[in-house]
Amino acid sequence: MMKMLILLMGLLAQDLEADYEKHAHRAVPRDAFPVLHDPKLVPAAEASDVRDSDVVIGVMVGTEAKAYPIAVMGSHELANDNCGREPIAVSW
Amino acid sequence: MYSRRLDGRTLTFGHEGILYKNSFVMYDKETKSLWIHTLGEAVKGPLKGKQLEFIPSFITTWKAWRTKHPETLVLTGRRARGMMGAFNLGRNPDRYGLSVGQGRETKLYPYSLLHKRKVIHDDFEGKKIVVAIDADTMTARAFECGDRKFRWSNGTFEDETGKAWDLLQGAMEDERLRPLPATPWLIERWRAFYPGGAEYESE
Repeated sequence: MMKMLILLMGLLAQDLEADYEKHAHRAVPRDAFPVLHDPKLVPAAEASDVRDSDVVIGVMVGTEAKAYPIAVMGSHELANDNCGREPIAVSW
Repeated sequence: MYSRRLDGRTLTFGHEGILYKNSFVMYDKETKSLWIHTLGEAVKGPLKGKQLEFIPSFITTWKAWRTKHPETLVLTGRRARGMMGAFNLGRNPDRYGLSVGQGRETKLYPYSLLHKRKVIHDDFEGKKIVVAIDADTMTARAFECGDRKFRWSNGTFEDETGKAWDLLQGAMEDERLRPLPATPWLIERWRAFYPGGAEYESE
């Protein structure tokens, strides 16, 4: 049973790679997008340029809450950050 | 959203510059493996086949989020132009769907249907789940719900016994439902990414 599962997972992984080879293409050079590393976030009271109607990606780990407006994430696509004690990757 | 912890180490991701079915590919600086960000799965390199752990996150309005979490921190910076910057589920609900599940096992729930039904009970991956939307904040979430049945009643998200639940948290007093990954997608993009993928259809 376990062997079959591993075999099946292997097949699925191969499928994904084959599909990837078929559909992936380079759009820009590596690191062309300004990915965020440990970005500085501000308290809600200081975030005057974030609008009430802005859609955000919110996360809460332990007692720490963080929000990433999609309008801002759109120009970075990816953020390496931490929330609570968890290292997180925020992608959009 | 994913944890960057994998097998005892912390990964740092960069942008590879490659698109796979319109979805960007990231690499980890530690091993240079390539990851499909929408799946959280490595497709090439030493970590090929590994899956990042999903971290529950919420797609909602800034107002709703900071009201719920006044102590929150928020990212500020330059706003992207075009569609990414103007992302608004309220404006074009017919174009969006909620993709529920992780990796390749996903199912799409059209926002047009979510707006109409507000609460959808379904079977997914052999589990009973509830997909629900709060129309005021455009927040849609998905949870494993067992035999519970939910409904909206006079602005309250409640179970079959009439107990009020917090939809954003999937919580009622000490009880918590297990959240499933749920991400809004443009329907046409989702269909191109998951050809033949399961889509919810109302009976």
